[in-house]
Amino acid sequence: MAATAATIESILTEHSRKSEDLIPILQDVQKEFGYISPESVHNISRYLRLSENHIFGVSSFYAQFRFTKPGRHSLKVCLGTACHVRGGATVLDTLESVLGVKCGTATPDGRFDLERVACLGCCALSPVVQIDKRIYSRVAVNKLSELLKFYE
Amino acid sequence: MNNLTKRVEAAKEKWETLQQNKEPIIYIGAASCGRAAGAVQLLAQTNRWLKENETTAKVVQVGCIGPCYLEPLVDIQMPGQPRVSYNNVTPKTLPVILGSHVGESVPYDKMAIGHFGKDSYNGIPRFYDLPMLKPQVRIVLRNCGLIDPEEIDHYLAVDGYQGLANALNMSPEDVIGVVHHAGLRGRGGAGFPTFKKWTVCRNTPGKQKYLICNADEGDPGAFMNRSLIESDPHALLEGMLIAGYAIGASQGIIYIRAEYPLAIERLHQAIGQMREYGLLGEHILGSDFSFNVKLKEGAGAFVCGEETALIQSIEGLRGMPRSRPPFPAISGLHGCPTIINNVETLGTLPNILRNGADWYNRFGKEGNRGTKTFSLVGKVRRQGLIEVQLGTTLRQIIFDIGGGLQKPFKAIQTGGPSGGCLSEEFLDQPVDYESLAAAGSIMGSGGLIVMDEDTCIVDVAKYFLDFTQKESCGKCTPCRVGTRHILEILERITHGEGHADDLLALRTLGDTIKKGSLCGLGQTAPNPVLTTLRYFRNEYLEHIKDGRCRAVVCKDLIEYRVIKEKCTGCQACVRVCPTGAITGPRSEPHNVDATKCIKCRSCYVTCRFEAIAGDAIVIRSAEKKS
Amino acid sequence: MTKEKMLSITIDNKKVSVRPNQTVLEAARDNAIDIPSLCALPHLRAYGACRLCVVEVDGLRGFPTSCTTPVEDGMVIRTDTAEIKILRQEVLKLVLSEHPGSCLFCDQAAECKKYMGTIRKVGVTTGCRYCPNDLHCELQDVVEKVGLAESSYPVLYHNFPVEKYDPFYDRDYNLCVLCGRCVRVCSEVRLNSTLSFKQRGRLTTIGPAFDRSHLDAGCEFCGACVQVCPTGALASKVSKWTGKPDAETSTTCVYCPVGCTIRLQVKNDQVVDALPDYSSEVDGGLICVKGRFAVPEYVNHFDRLAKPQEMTSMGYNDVSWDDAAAKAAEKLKGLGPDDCLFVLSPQLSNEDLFAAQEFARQTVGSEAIAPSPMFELGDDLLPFIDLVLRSEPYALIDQAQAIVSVGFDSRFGYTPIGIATKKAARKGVFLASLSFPESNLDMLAEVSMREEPGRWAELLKSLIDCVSGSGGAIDGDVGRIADATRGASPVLLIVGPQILSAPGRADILKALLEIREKLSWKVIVAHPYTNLLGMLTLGAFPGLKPGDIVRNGPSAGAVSLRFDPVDLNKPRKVVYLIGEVLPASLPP
Repeated sequence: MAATAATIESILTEHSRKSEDLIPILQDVQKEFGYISPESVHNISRYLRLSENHIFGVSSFYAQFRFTKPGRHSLKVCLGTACHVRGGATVLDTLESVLGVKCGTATPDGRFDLERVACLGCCALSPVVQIDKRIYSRVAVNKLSELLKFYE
Repeated sequence: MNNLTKRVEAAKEKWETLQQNKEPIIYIGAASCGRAAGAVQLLAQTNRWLKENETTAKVVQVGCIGPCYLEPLVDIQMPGQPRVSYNNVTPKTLPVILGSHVGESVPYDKMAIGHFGKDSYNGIPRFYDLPMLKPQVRIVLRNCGLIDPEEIDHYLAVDGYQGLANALNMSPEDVIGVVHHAGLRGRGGAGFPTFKKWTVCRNTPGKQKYLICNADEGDPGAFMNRSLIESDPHALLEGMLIAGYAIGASQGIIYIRAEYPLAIERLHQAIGQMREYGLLGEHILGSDFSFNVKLKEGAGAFVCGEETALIQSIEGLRGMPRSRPPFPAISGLHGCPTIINNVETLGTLPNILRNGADWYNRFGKEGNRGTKTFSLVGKVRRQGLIEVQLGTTLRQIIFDIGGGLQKPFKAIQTGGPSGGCLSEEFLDQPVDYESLAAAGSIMGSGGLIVMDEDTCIVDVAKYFLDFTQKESCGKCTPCRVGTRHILEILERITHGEGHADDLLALRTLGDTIKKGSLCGLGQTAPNPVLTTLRYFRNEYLEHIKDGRCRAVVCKDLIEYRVIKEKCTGCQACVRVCPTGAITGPRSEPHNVDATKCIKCRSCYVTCRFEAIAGDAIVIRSAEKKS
Repeated sequence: MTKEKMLSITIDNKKVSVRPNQTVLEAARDNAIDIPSLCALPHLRAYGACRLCVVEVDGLRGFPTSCTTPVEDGMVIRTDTAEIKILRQEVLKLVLSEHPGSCLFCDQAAECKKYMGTIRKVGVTTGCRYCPNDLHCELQDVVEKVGLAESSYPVLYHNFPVEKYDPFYDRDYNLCVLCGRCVRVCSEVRLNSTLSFKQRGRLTTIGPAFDRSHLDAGCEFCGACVQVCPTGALASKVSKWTGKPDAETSTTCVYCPVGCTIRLQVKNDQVVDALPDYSSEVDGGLICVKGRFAVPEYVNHFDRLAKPQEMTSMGYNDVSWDDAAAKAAEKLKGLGPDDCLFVLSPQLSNEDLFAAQEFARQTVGSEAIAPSPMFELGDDLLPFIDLVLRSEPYALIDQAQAIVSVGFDSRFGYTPIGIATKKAARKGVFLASLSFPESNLDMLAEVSMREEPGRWAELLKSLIDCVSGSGGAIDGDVGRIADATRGASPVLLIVGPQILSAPGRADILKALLEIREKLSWKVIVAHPYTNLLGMLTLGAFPGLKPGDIVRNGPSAGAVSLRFDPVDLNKPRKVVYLIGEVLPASLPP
């Protein structure tokens, strides 16, 4: 998209064309878009005259960078033992089918980011789902779609 | 030089005026620790209170003075009276304190922890006489919590940049001589004599040299560097100028982890102030010395705290360490002579250059001069940031300063993932580079984690190896593959599936990784395992032979039981059990079905705090399965 | 030449004299002490990852790797202590815990034979075949050298799918030991960086960005990575299962004028593989996909003519060499000079060219010799040859202050030129590339213009105008090139083969010649006519006798090459095609 390309350009021109500026550029791109897209990598490659594979190799080394677009809302399904036994896996499966995405990715419309986490520490209230900063406990599988409606 | 002298004079006047306050001053500890405890809310609340009560007062945000367990700290200084510190202030207690101390000029001594005056005051002890503070020797941390980190004038007023001025009046070689005489050793962990590295760099020909500050503080549990930067950024910057002058560098770089946004902000601000005051750029303070500082943010890799990996990261590459030789002092960043020093090492320099090497030699002992900051955390009563002379014993730190533990002491972990767990027998060991290394651990950056009998030592070893595995760069075989095998063995042991020859395998692997790894991360990765094997061997054997975890932590080796005599049958636990493992009719003792129990602690906690009985559920070692 | 001052070191209690500026590993190997290593290679920068080559050095802490430690005068080194031996074994065990070891630790090894008989309807022989590298594997060699009989660590098998949908070579990363040689050779030697380390720690993998195919990631399929891989992870498709070659012959590649040295790997008298020769003074081992992978495939291709054949009403029939020669002689007897046309291939060797023109001139008495470039280039032949004859030696690339390439892409030929250019660009030399649709120089070029070839002549003209200051566009790419090259010396112009098929070729050649004369730029021509210089030297052109060009040619001053006219359209009784000639080059 032209707008994205223009934004990437404006980020690039803030930096020199030296290879040592690669990480600061990646950090600015990550800050702006929330992730490093193939388009960004391509533009950085032309600007710094480094191969895209090298750039990907550098950025995938560091934990800060992600390569898939984050959703507007982060959906974390707790799969600690308590939640697991109380149907956490079913909750995850249901969400995957309702949203049409696999765990670890974002929905195509950019609404939700689906992740599994180890333990949110609310075992007595299992199964537990965290949406953005709010924690929902004793989540019923049949009420999931309704819950998601609150989030644009 | 005249410029600075004028400014210093002006700053001192300003500070004096502040101290001889005509109006109340309210200090609020608003570094990251304070903020996490709720300082921002208190700050807003204070401003509101002042407005509502039509009182004028100066509100100063200060950094962290050390005792984190007392945060949030709010200090009040009324005209002509000493500054009084109030601890663990809440939105409820704040108005009471303000009302009393500011409104009526009467300190609310029930909630005051200490004061900063000379003699006793209203029955409130001197802050520095508190058991946590008294044994400390605060050199690096001298300004933390006392000045506003966003005011360069405060720093100048307390003799800031005087060390730099002294250094510029000597030759660079003489500056190195002072640091040599002071006996300063690298505070990042290795303890290498600072003057030695500097000398090599100084003597290496090259037009462009670099001074890098390693602010990547990656050890879990360590936050000394963060605190210093947030509370007193100029101390670090002055130190960088001194070091840069000594080695002949014209460019300073601070490599700081991105997870420290407040520290980064404070540094940017401080650098801007330095430029204004002519302390950066060409001809600093009228001398021939020119220096510039820039920041580079880390991107989430613990291994980038290692010197050569740090250099790779600055160069825009994967943070994989390089073999040495060549050493960075000779060929480092972009192939130029480079010195990398830790935040604390640099933060110590202004004090040495201001007061002299002889002064510094008064602290510590032969071969281990000076002081060291530590983050004392874990099962101690008084957790926080401290600074003591090298040579202080672990017992003094844990029991005198830290206030001891509630349950019996088990171990002290030093040096983060590169260090080890030391047992009771080491409590009277002095904390210095050699003693800790001889015990199989290291000083490290200063993290001290106190553990009691509720800590499973095998679980601790597993935790550190899991960390190392995630952070290993993957370049060399011993670290990448070896730590994976160690982790697998530890996981089996904690699941009760250990074999008789596991301990030998752990030692062999540890030996291989120590000797064969490319960098410090790998070479020290086995330390948590090797030290715990050495000093807590029985605990390992119990896991393997008896399937028993004496700290009752490893899930597969423990069980939850109801003590029938104590259970009143109130069913509080039944309601919260996620798997229906705990059952029982009303008013009759309940029962735990071990096959369904997932050890989530819900029933245990409920019984203790919400049920009638309170102690009817116990967690203990399971019967060994045959 | 100054004599290097030799250094004296003690290695395993033996005092030896070694050259300076080398590593302990190299010095040891020079003195018959073979320290094992998996990641070190002579033409790659020291890396120190596998940790097998560890030694003890007095004065250095711990166990430094000998591949990264430079020798110093007076150094005392121990390579073989008990502690080091054990350390090497343990490290190797760790390496093997990530690599299937059935070839190493099979308990049937003693009873196993090279070939086993398998009872099927028709008995066949099979061998144990689970890895393409078996019996010629560096990892196997190291295991033997280090002396490992077993490994007690559980093996982790990643279960990566074998990557076999790219051409020329397969990748099975289940066999990868992460020595990094492939990444380093692709980046340091080939300046391409298709392969990269991805992620870190135990999750480290090797490959292109975003898991793309190698085709999409810009791989040039030069096969440098395949050759340096110490395990069977990277294997050339054509030679994957042929096992260890039993002989090697060095020869010269015929696919472009550079003439790189290739080392043919031979087994049972068949060419099974072609490897680079890094010690070659011509190309430094920088061969391209054609020399590396095309040679074994073409040589063994079932469509290749291996025997003489005669056309009959029923199709082609095999005949013997004697019969073929006799029949051909019969057809050619009694023909007049005008009845024949000899079409020669530029891929012929000097000897063949001489013999061909001798046959035409002395035996048949005809001057109707038409090298195939004549057909392809027509009137543009002479200007083109003019450019070629004044082409500079490749070494000039290292000294150029600015480089402009027109129609050049070094993926399919002339690779040493391409890599030298990339090296210069990496060092900061200005590089501009004009090509269509793209060139492998684009990534490193400061100005990369992808323009339709029809526009090239006008662009070059405006460049000349711009540089020489006589007006012309000052904005845009041409302006930037002009700014960078004005005042620089030497400026190198690399002319690639794309101009030969461009519309408006005549104007392009004219512009290129003008650049050489007017702007004094140096020219290097990369063209597809392998032995064009041989053809010119040995008189394989009508009216040009053998040796003429040496006597009268560019070294003698002005070039005024004149060829006798040959009517290519005249119907002839015999057209004698000598060498590989494309159909497009044939007369109508």
